[in-house]
Amino acid sequence: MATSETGQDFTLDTAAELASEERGRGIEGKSPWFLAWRRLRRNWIGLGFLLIFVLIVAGCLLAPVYASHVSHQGVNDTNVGGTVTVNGKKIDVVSSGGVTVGANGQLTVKPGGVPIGPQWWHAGGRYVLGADSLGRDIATRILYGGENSLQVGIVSAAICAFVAIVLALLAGYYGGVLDWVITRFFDLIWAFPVILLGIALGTALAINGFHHFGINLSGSSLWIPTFVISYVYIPYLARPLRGQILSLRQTEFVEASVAQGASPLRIMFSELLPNIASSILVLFTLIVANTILTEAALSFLGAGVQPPNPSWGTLISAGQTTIVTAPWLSVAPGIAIVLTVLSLNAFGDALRDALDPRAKVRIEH
Amino acid sequence: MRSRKRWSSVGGAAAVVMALALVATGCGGGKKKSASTPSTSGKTFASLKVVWGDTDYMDPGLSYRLESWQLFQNIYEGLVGQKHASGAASADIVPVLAESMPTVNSAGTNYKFTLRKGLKYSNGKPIKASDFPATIVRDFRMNSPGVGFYSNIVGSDACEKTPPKCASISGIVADDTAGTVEVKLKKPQSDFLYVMSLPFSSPVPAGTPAKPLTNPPPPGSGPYYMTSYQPHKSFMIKRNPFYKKGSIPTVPQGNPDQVVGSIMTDESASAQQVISGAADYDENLLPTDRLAQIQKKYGDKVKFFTTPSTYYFFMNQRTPPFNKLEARQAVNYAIDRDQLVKIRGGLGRTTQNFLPPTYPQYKKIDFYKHDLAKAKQLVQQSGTKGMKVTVFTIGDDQVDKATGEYLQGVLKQIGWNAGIRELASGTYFTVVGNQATKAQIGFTDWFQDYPYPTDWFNILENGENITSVHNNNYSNVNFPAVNKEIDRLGALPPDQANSKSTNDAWAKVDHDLMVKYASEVPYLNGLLTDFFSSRMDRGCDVTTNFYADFSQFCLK
Amino acid sequence: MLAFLLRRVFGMVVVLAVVSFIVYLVFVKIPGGDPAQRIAGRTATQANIVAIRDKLSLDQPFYVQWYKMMQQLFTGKLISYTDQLSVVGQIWQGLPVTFSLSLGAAVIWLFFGVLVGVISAVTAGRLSDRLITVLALIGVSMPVFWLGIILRYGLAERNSLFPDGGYVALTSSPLQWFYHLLLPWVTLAVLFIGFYGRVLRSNILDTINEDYVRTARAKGLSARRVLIKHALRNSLIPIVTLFGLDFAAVLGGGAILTETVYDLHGVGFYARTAIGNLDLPPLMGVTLYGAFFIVFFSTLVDVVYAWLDPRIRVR
Repeated sequence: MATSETGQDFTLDTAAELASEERGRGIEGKSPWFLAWRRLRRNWIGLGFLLIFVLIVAGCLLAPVYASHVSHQGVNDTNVGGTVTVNGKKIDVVSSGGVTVGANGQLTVKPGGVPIGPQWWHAGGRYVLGADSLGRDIATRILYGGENSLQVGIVSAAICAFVAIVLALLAGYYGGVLDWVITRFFDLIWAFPVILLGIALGTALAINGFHHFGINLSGSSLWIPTFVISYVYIPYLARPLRGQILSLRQTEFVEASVAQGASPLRIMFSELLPNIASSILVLFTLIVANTILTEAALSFLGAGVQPPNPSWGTLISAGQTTIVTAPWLSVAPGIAIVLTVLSLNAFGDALRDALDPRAKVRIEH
Repeated sequence: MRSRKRWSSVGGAAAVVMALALVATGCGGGKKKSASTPSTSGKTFASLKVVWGDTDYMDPGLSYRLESWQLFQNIYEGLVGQKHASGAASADIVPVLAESMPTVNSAGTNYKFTLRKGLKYSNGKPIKASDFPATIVRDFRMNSPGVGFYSNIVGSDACEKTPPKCASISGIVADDTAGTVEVKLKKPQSDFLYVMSLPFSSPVPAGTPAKPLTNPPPPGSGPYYMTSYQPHKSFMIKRNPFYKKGSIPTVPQGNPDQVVGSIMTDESASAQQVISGAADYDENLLPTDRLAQIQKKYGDKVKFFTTPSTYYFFMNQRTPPFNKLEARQAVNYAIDRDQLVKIRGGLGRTTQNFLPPTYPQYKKIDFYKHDLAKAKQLVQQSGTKGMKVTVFTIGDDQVDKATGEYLQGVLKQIGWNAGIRELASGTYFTVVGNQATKAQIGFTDWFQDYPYPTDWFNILENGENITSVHNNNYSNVNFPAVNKEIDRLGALPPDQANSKSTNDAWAKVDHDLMVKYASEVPYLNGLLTDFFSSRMDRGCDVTTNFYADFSQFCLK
Repeated sequence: MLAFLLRRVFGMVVVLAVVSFIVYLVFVKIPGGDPAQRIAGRTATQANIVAIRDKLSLDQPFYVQWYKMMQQLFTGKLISYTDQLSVVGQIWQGLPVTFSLSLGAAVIWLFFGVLVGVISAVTAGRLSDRLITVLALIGVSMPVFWLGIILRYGLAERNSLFPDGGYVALTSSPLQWFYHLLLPWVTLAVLFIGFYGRVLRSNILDTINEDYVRTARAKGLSARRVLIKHALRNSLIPIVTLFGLDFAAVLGGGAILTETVYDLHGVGFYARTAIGNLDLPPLMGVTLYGAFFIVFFSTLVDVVYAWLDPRIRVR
């Protein structure tokens, strides 16, 4: 995936207008964080997207609580031979077919195997978004799938952020050989096309799991795609942070602290970290958006979340074979992904504007 | 052989299937049961454009896929071959490179073939008797998957032990001046002539290097030869310039002058080629989700045919719970075979037999009714309720995947703690065939190599042939009485091999294994499709044991 | 300058070597499977497996195997475990497809990305800008493979507006080549158009606020002149960097998803098949091919920058 470069302005106000409003409202004595919060508060579009994202996450993570009750079906319960009552009529969940043998031995096949489409509320909560080819309820699977996709996406972004911050701090603060080694490490990850690296690692680990260094993970553990995805995004986060830390390192107040004999740890925590905090926040939302997309891509190719765990990517992949007769199988999970990532991106824009309307927060190469 | 699925891209279940088709339509109207060669011959035309599925090799010594074998039936001929007819006649053995059927001694251990005179390969070299043993040696040296079929030939042990050093097999004696090939067997072999009709046994010139020949493949001995082959992309087949018309009367002389083949894995795209008129014949399975759509518009151009294949679930008798008869019976009662056909898009006929219904040795088993209550009871009786059971299946083919997930759901319903492991098709059979994996239950299938029960029972159900790796008897079926019977029935001289009493005995083996011992869970025989363009005359489409025979195609 | 160049090239080689070693580790050490068993086939005996192991020197320590594999790769003799075909040959065959896909998509995304970015920057704050921003955001949020499936289903399978996947060589029919690639191009380009549009827009807006631009305006130059002569040129420089790296990534196998969805048998498609079969030699070949492009382009960009800005060379 391409690197993303954050820029300005998605909000209602352009940079100039915001700045002039600031001057009008009086900013003496208020901390930058408070000012940022105030700007964010007024950006109701951005907040709206945040709400959407939170609702999606909550809806998916809480799926085990309510989903099966609404759809009257477990997430993995197949129902190939069952029927459902829609508006009083009983119809097959998965259409029947048959083979007839004609006069001269000719075979005619009626394919069958077509699942029913979205029933919305006409069947009392069953098959709201339709069924898949095994008669499973799609809406339930999308919610459970979302649980897995979001879990992997958010946790991997968090792990990535943690590792990236640590590495950036070490490289930026100490410089020299340590910096050189860490930067080469970034180059190494950078040199792989993200998808290929993700697929390669995901596939290799899915076969037998990971059983080295005392860690024991089975091939279908969710931790595997989580670690794989967090690994591939480290340079995207760490490089710009490292750049910022390098320049911060030269500033007078940091030099002063060093001269005073403050320990490296103290300097990192009290001088450096707070000054890159706004970058971290903005970049983090972007990384989460990307990890969710990457998890979908890996799962689509079979190198991410392993069955039987559903995920949005595996659902899209499974829907391909019936794309003509049952397109909603692939369309619906994709819409879920788009909504989630879109709201994340939009909120990320709003956040960036709030933190510094004239920010030059860029991800360098 | 097993079907080896490929990555299924958009548009339908992967259907890179190797199977030998049997009963299909007759030629045109009416029921012409005899060899259809007369009615399709003489209708030559210039060029046939086909779309074909992907395959492993186009080298007869190595290829173990029906995509290749379907082409080989007109390119690489054996001393004997299977008749180019449809229906029951397709199982008949006829002399091809040999001038007549071999003379066999009364014990059934000595077969003598006499080569037809004056036959030449497509490179002009004469076809010699000594080419046959050289070909078998080449197969060994290339680690061909077919060498297992020759283990009964006298003197093959040395080659089996160290295949790369294989130099000769004492049991095959060739005399070039007399034009004879004599094969000595250790004991009688009921299916020997069928083995001789497989592409592995098709002679190639004696000096052919013992490594896979790709472009061009080895020279052809039949009416056609492959002039070029781009793996995964295309191939070209032309008439063998050194084949004299009529020199082998038992094979069709060939209608198309050339065959231009393009290889496509995407079923939707390949069907589109025929629809748009860019190709005349689509060998791939039609995408199941477009089947209804295509049938509506082009119904008369689509042909369905039953394949001599059985899809079944194996149950490993070396691991609990399936070491218990009740547990195995429970699965047979629990699955709904009709639903499994539904999952396959309707492309199947339910079965409870191991052998396909087209075999003379088939006697229909109708024993298990779909009964969940009974299944639950049996699980209870087996004492294994609540045990962890992992279903194995192929993950990158949507139909196989869905089948496995269906089985998992059913096993859960009858009382086991059922999980699932989905593997890539490229590695699936290797993993499941490794005893160390201890796979309990899983998806598998079998498509005949040739139409005789030894290909089924000896390879898949004979306890004596269980190996620790590359095992084909995934269920580890091992009943001494049955093993003995399979051995006995597999070691008959040709006059007894197809008698009524032998056929009945085979049917009893089928019944014992499936009902008495419930050793497997067969559920359907597969169906496949042929798709023709509008200029093809359906009256010429003959489906042999190797599927549609392109040499008999003709235009309207 | 020369020293700088040499240092960067040396770094490139080192990175490629380490990349190949890692691929090796990932596919041999991690799963721990036995490739000899897989290659040997269905009816293999123990003797067959031993023979294959010997032929591929699978019994040697892994660094010896790696070295041998590198040797074979660079002399063009590396063959795949599953179908015994030359890896270099298969990659060579897939190149025209991947190049066609990448180049075409790149032209489209660069052109439309710049267009969209300029329009939305020039009309900043107005309806067209907002509309473009919304569309761009949606474009960046779509999984590329999903978009491909939707487009293929909607425009090529339900009806026949477009060909249903597959690739036609430029040499056999330019018209069909173009027709078959349209949908894949659009699919691949959408993501980047949205992204580049946003980046360019913010760059232009930043540049406009720079002092030298304000000076130019104060001097009386027209807004349009300012935009084109000063702001655009400077805003495009980061775009060029981005483009170089993105193009390299797409060329080097990043189009694997698009190739899979549209059944285009390029290098990405080959990679995916190889991964599914755990086939190490093609994977090694494809990864090095991809890494080479990325490292080459990033080195190229650095070199160009160093040539433009002498300060960088000293680093």
